[in-house]
Amino acid sequence: MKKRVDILICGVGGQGILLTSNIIGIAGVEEGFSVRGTEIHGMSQRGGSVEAHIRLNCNYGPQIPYGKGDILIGFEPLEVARYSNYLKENGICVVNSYKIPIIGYEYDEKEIIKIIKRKTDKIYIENFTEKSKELGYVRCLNILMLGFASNFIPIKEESFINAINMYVKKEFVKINYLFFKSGRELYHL
Amino acid sequence: MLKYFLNGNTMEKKYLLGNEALAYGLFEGGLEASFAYPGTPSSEITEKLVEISKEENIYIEWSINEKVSYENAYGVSLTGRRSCVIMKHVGLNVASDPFITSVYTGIIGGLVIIVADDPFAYSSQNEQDSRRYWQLAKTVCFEPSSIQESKNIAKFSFEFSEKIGLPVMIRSVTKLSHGKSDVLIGKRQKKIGDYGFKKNPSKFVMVPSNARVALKNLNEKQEIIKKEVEKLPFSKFEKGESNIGIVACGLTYSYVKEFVETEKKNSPIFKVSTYPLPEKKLKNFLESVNEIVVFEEGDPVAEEQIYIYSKIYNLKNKIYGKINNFTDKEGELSVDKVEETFYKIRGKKKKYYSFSIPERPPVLCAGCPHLGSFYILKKVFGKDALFPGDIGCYTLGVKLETIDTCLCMGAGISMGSGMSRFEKNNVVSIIGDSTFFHTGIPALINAVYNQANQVICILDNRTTAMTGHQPHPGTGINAKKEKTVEIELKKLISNCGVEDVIEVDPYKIKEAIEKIKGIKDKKGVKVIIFKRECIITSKGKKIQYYIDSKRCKGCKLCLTINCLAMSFKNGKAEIGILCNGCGMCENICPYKAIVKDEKKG
Repeated sequence: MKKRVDILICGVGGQGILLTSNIIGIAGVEEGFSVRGTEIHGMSQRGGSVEAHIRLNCNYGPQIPYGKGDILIGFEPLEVARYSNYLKENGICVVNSYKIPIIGYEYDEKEIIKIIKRKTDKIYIENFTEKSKELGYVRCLNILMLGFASNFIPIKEESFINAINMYVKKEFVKINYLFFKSGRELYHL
Repeated sequence: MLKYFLNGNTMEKKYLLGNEALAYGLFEGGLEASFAYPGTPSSEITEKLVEISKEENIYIEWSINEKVSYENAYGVSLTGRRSCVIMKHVGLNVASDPFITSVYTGIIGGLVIIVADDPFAYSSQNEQDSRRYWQLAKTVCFEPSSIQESKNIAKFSFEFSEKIGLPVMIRSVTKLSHGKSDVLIGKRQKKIGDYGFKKNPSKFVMVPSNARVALKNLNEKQEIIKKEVEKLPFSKFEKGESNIGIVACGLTYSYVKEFVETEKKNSPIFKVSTYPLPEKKLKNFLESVNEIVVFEEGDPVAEEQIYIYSKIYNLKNKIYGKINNFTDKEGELSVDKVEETFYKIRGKKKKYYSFSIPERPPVLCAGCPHLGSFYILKKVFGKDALFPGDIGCYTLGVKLETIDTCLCMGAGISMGSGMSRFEKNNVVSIIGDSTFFHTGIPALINAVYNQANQVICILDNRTTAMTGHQPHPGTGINAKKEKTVEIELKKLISNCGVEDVIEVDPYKIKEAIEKIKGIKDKKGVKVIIFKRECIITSKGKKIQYYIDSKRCKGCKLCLTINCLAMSFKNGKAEIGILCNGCGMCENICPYKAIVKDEKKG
């Protein structure tokens, strides 16, 4: 039997978390996994803290229990800290270092790292927002990070590409490919 | 897409949202007409139905409110066709009047009510448990435990509704409606039988003499319901060896399964997916264990039933649940919560590493027209005015001190009327366009008729924004995105007898302030329509603004709009990448320091 892989994506409403989780989910189903997941809709979506769970090879409920997450993909450092209780010991944590401030709250990146470090040392931290800007389209941050994290997800590259093809609007497919590939290669640099 | 063969049928496997699975279930079950008012977490069911039913002649509408929805669906049912009505939990309060009595009369074509509850109130004003309506109405309620089962039950429910001759409920919850799963999709089946309304006054006209008979019949029918529910596969007893049995209702079954299998426990489980609970199966379960733990989201509905059955059958099980505080009375359950309860039973406490991170609450989008409306209202009426509010994105105005109440759909206007009788300060009710159509209209007419002295603001962003941009009667578009009659707000309001009704553009702040000052001190009901399309749906040119730092004097006036794109750094204002080019800040800047970025225009 295949091993279960629990992935948590978190960030701030509007960063493309829903789309990212759906691409993983569709790619997972394509490869024959049973997939479970959750999404956030409605009021909480408006610029609030957002989480999406994707569970590959899972026949239970949609939500990852605390301390069971294999991979955490965080689009915003403070949100990574907030959801870090979901990560298992020595799980993989991919973090975008670009901060989206909460008015009236200052924090140091070091504090965030400290909170994550009590769970794992496998932290991959980059300014993915800055990288997206360099690539010319800051809104594709989510796909860049998905590309990077895809190195840790047991789904073939072509299944991700197929899922992007199925789910993303036609005019954006090309740019999404580019960001996915760039993200995937970034890990090997 | 993957194909599967099951029982000789080809089935397709798709990755679906729980609500989408419900839509497929209704579709496959032979749905012929669907009615709904948008509400999180239920809205995607209707949207998916529109998408998948293109080839079929299925009638789908966004109705003006849930009561109207229900009565439409019931009307369809009386013509012999299969219909459904979809809503969020609080929507059933609005539809409860026709619902309760329609169970007295019974139905002809299958009638299914889908109610999506919101434990933890992610996007709601309360956490009420719709299963209570099952008891009140005396029909059958289903509660699926997984997304695949949501589809299966939705499909089956029409047939069952026709079999017992009653409307039936399906209760979903947020994590089921907005959960995702691979789902097997099958073929559409159709109802075979007679169509057309057949007159039968003693059945359908609920005058007191008929109602008394109908209630007696309904009470007698409960015995048939009990027998039928016993035969269904959805609620079941899974045998085990442990002395502690677990009762798991709806989605909590998936949490219990994960907990039990991860911990390698061999607990007997009683899965509840039907109300009433199947009595014989339950009795077998209760007799096989000494103690039981009950997991359910919302009220202790199943738990209370178990207490009743225990008394009837003289069983002595120790019951752990909400009533004796072993499970939470509020919020959602999860695998962790299930584990916590078992810790509690053993007298232990589970420890979590805790750290404090400030909340990141939802906010209005950059360039949201409501920001302009709130800015204008504060300027004209000041902070001493009373702002009874309503349900929609604009409820987020609570942080801008321009929403003082939020109770239920349409309440802002009527509460304002009541307040205005005894308050000296201005009363300024705030309601959205879709909410105004939903239940605001009777409240407005009441205010005019009874000569209230209040201002009513309709924040008309040309859509039902909060729930994902569904059309409403003011948009001139229907659920299938076809053109229809547009109900013009200004005309409608004038015809309700309002003499002072004006339309302003919340982006043109100065102009709007002047216009509103003109009617502010008049007596009676004054209506201001703030008309400007939602920033998410507006297809306008994507322009951005920037700060000319030579001109910016650092007065911070632009910050008082509370736009997400605006910040303050090194003594000057700064506009970030979130700017949607609304121009509200340009409109109020006294130093002309906010400039349009033409290159991006």
